[in-house]
Amino acid sequence: MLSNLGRVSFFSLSLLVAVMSLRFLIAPMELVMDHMIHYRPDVPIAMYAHILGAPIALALAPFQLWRRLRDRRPAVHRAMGYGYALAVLVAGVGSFVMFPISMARFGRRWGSRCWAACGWALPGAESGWRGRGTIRRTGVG
Amino acid sequence: MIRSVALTFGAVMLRVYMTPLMASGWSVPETYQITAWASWVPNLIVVEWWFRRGRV
Repeated sequence: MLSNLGRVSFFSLSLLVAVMSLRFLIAPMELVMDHMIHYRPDVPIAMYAHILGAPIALALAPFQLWRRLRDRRPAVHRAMGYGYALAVLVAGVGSFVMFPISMARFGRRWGSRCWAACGWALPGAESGWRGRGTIRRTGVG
Repeated sequence: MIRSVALTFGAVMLRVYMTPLMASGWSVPETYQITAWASWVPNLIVVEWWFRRGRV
């Protein structure tokens, strides 16, 4: 499906961004994620669901397309698939809860981008849910 | 699954587009005007195109 260079880039970029996105675990959010801080007073659980779930989904995503893992270690592939679907759902639902805060803060000026984020989360959560159904039905995702 | 991963990979593309915009003086919220759409819509289009070409 992808060339070797494409595969290596896909894996390394996904893992790099996922690890970098977890920087709030080792440093104060005010310092490393000040663009997210305005969500914390109103929807702290949703915010943490999003910023924790999304990097986990991103880190697991490349492994779901790794054919050799699926063929040789189907149980590992399945377990990671469950983890991926759950992480996508958690992050997606977190986004929806955060959406009204985004609209209240940026809607008048940049409503379009708020709807874009919503559009991103909706198919993401939907496909995560569908992937969970596929895993349950067929044993592999 | 591939569509889902394409959307998830939007988190990477967001940073890819954000870097040159911020280098040219845009703030993080300003970059969202472009990246909010550009980070995931092209991914889906490419994947759909790939499906239609029978590459997957």
